[in-house]
Amino acid sequence: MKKVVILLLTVLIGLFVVDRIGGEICEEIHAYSNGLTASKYRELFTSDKSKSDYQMILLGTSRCEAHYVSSIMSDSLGMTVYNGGIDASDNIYSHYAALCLTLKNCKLRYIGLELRECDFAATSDDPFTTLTYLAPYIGENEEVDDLFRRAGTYWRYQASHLYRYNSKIMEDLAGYAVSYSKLMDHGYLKKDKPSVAPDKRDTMPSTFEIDTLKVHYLDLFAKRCKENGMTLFCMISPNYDIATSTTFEYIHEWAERNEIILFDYHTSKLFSDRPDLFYDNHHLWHDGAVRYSEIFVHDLKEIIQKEHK
Amino acid sequence: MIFNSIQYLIFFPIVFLVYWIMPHKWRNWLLLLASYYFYMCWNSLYAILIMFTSVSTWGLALAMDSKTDKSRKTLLSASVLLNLSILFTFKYYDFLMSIFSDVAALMSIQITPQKLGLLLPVGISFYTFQAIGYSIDVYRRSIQPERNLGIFALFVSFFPQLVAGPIERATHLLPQFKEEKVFSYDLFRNGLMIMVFGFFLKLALADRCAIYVDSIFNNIPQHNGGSYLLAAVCFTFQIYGDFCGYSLIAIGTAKMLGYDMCSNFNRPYLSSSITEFWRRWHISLSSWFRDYVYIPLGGSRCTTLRRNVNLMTTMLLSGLWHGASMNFVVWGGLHGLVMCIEKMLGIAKSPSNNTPLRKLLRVTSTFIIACFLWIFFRADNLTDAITIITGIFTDFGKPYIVWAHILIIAVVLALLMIQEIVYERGFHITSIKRIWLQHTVRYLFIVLTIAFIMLFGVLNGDQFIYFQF
Repeated sequence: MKKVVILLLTVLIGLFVVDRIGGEICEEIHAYSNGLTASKYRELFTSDKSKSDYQMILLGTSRCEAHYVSSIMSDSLGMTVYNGGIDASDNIYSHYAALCLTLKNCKLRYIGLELRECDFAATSDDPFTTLTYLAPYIGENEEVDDLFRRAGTYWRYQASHLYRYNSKIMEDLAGYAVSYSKLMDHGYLKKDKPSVAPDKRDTMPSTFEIDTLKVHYLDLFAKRCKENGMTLFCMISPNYDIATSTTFEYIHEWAERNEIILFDYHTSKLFSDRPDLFYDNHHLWHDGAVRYSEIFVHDLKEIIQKEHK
Repeated sequence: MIFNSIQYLIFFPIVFLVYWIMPHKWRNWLLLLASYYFYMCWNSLYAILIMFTSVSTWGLALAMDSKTDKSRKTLLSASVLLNLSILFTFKYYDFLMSIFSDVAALMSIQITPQKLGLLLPVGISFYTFQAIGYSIDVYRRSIQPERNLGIFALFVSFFPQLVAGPIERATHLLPQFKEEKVFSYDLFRNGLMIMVFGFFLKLALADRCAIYVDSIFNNIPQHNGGSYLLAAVCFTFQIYGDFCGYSLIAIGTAKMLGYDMCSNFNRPYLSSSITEFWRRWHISLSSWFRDYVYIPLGGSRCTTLRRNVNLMTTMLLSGLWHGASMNFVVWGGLHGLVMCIEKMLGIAKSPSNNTPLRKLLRVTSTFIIACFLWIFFRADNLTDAITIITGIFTDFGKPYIVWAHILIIAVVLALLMIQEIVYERGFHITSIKRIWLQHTVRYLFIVLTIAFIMLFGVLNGDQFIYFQF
């Protein structure tokens, strides 16, 4: 048994050392990577002088990332806009965490939040998995840590620093070979024209079961923006599907309750007859994104001008 | 409870410690209790099924002992029929009913069969086959019937191999429950290393491949032939990592408790033919079918036609064992067909004068055949399988690639290939063996493998594929 104890102790100590050294190495790789997520988060979260110049930041999922052409918005609005949409950050938990980490280092005037049904509706899968992308930033913000505690993953990331970079390290390493930051237009990542346009529309449910915790975090998101003197507006960009007028009814009510401007191009069926502008059912390709950005920025501009008057 | 869960990481150390602390006479009871607890974490009601299988098989085998040959045969038939009828009710009844209705529909007869809709008990195929194997062994007098019900119940339900094998033989495992186990550091260390490597295969290879495979197989119309091919290759490694990983964790767990379990995999993708593949893949099942089905049918010591019929029957049954679906039957049938062709062409066995190039060509072609046949195994139905295979040849395009996953899979596979080739060709080299035997190297292996899993593994507690069988 003595040998077993020695073996287990050696393995545990060795593992601790490898984990901590490995964690440090991964942190360094992440910090300088031009990978898609790493470079975006660096732009949003680190106290870089150039970043604090941004006056408007858009947050959301890959739909946000692929739908809002930053340069079109910047030119039209006359302010610096950064598209902070992150692929697979599929609900309000990761958006709220991103907001908290962003506000740590800068003050913004406007913030746009691209919404989807998964931001307020209950889903069968674990809704907290979207937070895994933010694991490298554990310990930087108490509210983000709280989210990880709710997810039940906080202790895992505390126990293993390597685990914080689980699966992300390859994307970070790939960022040294392909610079995504150069491929992006201030966070906007264009999608190329697909070989085949989507031919069949998805059918959206007319109602959803509401997840009260998600709604709580939507409220917190709005509250944080208000506290920081920022104007929050929300968007639901076009989707190639069949949505009823009640699909996003709840989010309309929520926006009204919190006095938030909501641009709903989904229910209004923008581009519903233009499958050629879609990359797939959920994303516009570059031509679609350009057209959509022009329409959106025109509508947004009107609101901003009204606000100034 | 599954091996890759937090519960198991708590459960096993407790069982391990209590097992080695308590006196020998109580250990089997502890293991029996632990095994039933392990199973009941999934479904407590279905533990009754294992109990019933154990008691009925034990009783009938015991009754065989003092009977004449004719009565023995009757008792064996009763035991086999009883076990198969349980398996049939839970696994195959609904499948048979749907075949009936499909056949009736072809003849324009409208039948709506009453389906049972029962939840398939985890591991039922494994423990049923283990129990049947025992009955046949007792009938053949290869083993004396076990008089202690507790020991026999433990043989059927031993938790490391209860839900996904290896399918142990009574001649191998039963005597081990009667031996007084003495703790061995070497067994503990080797068991730990085997277990860690099993987790590596499951979490870093199988579950990583699964992400890509699922994204393609669950969205077939949205992808092209390039993606189908890549997904088929990934599934080939996924199922190996998943099942071999499970077997290694089971073997490692048993070893740490002082038990030796049969090896279930022997680098199957380095086989020179599909016949050889089946000698290296899921060895405990293929040897079970060989000993209890193929040889009793006449084996290969008969006419060519009869041998091929025996082979096809065995492989069709093996396919059906995997699941109640036409996909598995076709998968098994195609394997049988390839084996028949190999036997007829005389290429089933690897020639002793094989040149490295010839060996490489044969290994590669066997791998390609296995890859294509796995498509039937993974696809949801035959139509999907045919769509995928047709797509590979008619709609080949740039595959959908998630680089982060593919790069991790490539790294894991490179490490696995090195390990497999070293074992296949070079482990007899003294210098490699000498390095491996050093304590530091072994400690380093354990530490680095766990660290690798932390960094590249998928730690979301995914089920093992073979649980469904």
